[in-house]
Amino acid sequence: MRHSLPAWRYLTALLIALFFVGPLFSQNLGRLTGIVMDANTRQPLPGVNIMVIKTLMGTATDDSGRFVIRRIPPGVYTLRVSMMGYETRSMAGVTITPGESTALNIHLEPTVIRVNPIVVTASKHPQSLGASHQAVTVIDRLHMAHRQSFRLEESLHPVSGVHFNEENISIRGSSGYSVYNVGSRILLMVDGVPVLTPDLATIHWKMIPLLDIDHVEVVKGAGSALYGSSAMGGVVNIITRDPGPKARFQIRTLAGVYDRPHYEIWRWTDETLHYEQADLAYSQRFGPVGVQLGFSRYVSTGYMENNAFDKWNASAKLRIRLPRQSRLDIYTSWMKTRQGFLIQWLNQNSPFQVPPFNQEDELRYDIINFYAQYHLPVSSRLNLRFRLSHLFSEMGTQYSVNAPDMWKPGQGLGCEVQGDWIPGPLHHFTFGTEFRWDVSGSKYFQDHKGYTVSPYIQEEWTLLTNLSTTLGLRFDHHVLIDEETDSRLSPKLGINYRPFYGTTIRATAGSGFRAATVFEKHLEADYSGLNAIPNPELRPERSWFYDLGIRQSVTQNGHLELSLFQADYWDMIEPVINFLGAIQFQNYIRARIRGLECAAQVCLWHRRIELSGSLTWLDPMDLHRDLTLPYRPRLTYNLMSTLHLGPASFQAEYRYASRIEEVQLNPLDTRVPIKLLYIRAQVTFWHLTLQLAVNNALNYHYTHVERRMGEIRNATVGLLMDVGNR
Amino acid sequence: MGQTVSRKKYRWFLYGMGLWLCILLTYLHCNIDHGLEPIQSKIGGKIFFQGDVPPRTDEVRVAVIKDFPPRAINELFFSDQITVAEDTVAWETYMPSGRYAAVVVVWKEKKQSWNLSDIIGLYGGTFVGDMLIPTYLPVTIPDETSVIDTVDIQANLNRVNRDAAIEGTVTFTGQWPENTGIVGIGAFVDTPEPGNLIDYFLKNVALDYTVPPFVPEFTYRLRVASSFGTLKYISVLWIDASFDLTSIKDIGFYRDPENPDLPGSVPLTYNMTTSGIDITVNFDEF
Repeated sequence: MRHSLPAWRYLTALLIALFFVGPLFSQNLGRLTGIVMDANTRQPLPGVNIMVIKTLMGTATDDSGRFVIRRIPPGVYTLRVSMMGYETRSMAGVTITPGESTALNIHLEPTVIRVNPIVVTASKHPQSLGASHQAVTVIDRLHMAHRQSFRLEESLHPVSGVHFNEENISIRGSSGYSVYNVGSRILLMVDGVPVLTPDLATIHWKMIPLLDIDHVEVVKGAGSALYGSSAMGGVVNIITRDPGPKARFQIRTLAGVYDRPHYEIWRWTDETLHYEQADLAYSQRFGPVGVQLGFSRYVSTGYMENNAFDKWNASAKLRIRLPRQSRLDIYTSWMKTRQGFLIQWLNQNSPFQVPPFNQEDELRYDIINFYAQYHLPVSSRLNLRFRLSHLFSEMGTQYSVNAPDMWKPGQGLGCEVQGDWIPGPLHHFTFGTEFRWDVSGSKYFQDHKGYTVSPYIQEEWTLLTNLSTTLGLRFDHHVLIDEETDSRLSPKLGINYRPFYGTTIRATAGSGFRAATVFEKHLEADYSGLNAIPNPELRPERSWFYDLGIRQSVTQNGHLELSLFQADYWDMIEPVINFLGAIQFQNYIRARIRGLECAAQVCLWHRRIELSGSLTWLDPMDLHRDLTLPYRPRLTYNLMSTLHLGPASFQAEYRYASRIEEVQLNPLDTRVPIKLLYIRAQVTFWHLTLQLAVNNALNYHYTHVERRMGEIRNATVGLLMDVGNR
Repeated sequence: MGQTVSRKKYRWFLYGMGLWLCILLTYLHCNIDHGLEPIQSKIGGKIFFQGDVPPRTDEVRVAVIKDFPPRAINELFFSDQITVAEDTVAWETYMPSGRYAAVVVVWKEKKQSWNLSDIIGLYGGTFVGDMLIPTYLPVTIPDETSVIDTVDIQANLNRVNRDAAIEGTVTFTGQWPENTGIVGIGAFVDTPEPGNLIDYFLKNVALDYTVPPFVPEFTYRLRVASSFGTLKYISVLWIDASFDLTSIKDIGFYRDPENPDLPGSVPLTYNMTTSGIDITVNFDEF
């Protein structure tokens, strides 16, 4: 060993070599320059993304709408030009000649609907939505602003196939309900970096300030072939904003009041229940360094007893542009929350009150997320990305202040090397290796540590100009130290066919898996009359997912998407209540979820009226016991209409989820479907936007989970100031 | 964009929107569905207590059972706590309308979970001594405003005044079934009819369901009320990994030392522990 070169020296040597490889390709190259403008106003557009298709080259426009892409090999290319609020434009036949500069003037049409935006999550590299082999929905920040979402999960409600049981997200019925949202089957990522907590594999929707978010991509169906465990139901990737060329400062303040319950007998307090939120964001680019800072505070009395909430967020992002178009992104976010913890209501005639012994119960979370990603374009056909990340997550209750061993901090350390290689115009390889090290501990499930090593490869092969196929494979080797070892292979096959302009037919088959969390295997607790029994024999769950979909654009003003899907599960992990009321996580031997999903969006009357809707029908079955899987509504739909009148807009949204057929906790309780109406209005003048909203306007009373009331009617007033916005 | 639409059309559009909004609001005002509602219908009556209140009493409640026997404890509606201060106590609880198969009174011991052996009263049931005769009456709440106040129940606290005990060892042979969920040891005042879950409920007077699965043997101690006189059946009960009560199986019983083909009886003595009540379970036999 003394004579061998340490591994880090190999890595350093490789990096240096790659750094100097780039110039070797730069002989006899051309360059592309141009300006991008708004087609109506003829004003230059800063921050527009320009990609050279079938290569890994691209850039963004500067403050004056201009761009330059250097060192392009000679040839004829297609450009893809995209920006939020504008229709994505493809420009074919752009010729690059050796040693010369090709100049372009590009005009973008403003649009409310983005028919074909650029997405990065389905294949781990940028591609147009129409080229994806998987069902993907994009929620951009304009959409979030119009819906006046002050919680990230609120923004995802209109997405077809997505349903929430409290904070538990389910995509196409993949998940039911689990306390603390533990063992998520949906992988949450920030800029492609996984952020499930290392101990409970929980999603914390509030972990980053909302003003940090540029857009959110929701990939439906098994994502384990690229993302491994926890992505078996899908992936939600939050893409944070990049610091723009100009200084930009945003403040959003918001205040709301809760109405009283509809029934007099349910009114439990004379106090006015309320909530307030403040968000601040600042960004600016200083030469090659872009800086983005965020801060958020949210306080609420809650709408029922012991439902108060207090949350702090802060974040910072650095984007450092380095020579040869390489760049380093560093992002960190911090969240601290204190919130009342409800097990269940006092009784159905006092549903907004909790039993006396639960009145002081509290949950605490402290989460710090950090990542650094270095993007190195080695040539026009080879890109490398190096990622280092760390997630610190500490959970607690009011008791853990004096008992620090009750919940120990969970530590998740990750690193990844990813390469994108385009050997020729017909092939795109994505490959890499991910490593993750997790440490967790609690008196409820003891101390555990483990690691996962996961090499993966995917090829996208363009068979014809309108037909492409994707083959992917990932191997996950998971070791829980001194306990067990498990290895899984997750393959995937996808096809994308575009028979006509505006029509995309896609089909996917892929496998997914999820290793049981230490919480699910080892939890042993007796809390407020709820007993939890450990199950060390819990096996990893596995699935195969099939998806067939068609997406049809209707000119530039709308689109329609229809999908049929089926997921077959083996050893699905679900919490089960035994006949004495104790909870244990068990394997459902065989389950199947199949369904239909459709979404449509159309603009009318010169884009003043925007109509959208989504519908999902599910058949979620526990085949072994011939029962419906718990906490999965068969039918959900969402209808939304928006009227844009100059600087003002008005929006109405109706959300429906059918009555849940099967539950675990209290099956004899009355259950009702969910019917929620939202009414919103906003007007923009100067740099200010005034927002008004009435949420749950019909004051409809419902439960996602037995004996926990959903949010009652509340009214919100918000003011957004955006200075320096382009 | 705005110039392509005339001012007149724009005004008519706003009128139309306003009219549509008025119609919508009127409709909603008249037909709003508010979802979950308070429960107005009630069920209640009197509980006639017999016997002394056991010192380890945590609480007593009435449990209303939709379908009898229930598959799990979460298929019961529990009343608020009943105060056991007098011989006759009125009880009442809000219940949705419908037909309910049985109403029972259950006792809970301090620091213990609810236990099937702690049923101390049954609507329609009577007592011969401390033995509960398992006849039960259904109750129907006809509509959402009905109040049924005639559900009177006799409850015998002597059943849980556990002043005697039995103990022994359960030996497991053969291969444990992989789908084992819960294993328990039950003491019965009469032999339950195989497959009759109601018998297992109401003839059981003590149950320990904490036997860990996959062990070779387990030493148990069951506390029982000496007022029953004799335990006629002591058995090991098995429930599969689904934890569904209907999967219950009798996998071994205490055998009469003189006639091993028959269940053995155990006489109970006040303040005494009867030892040597050993049971062997051979998984290969079932």
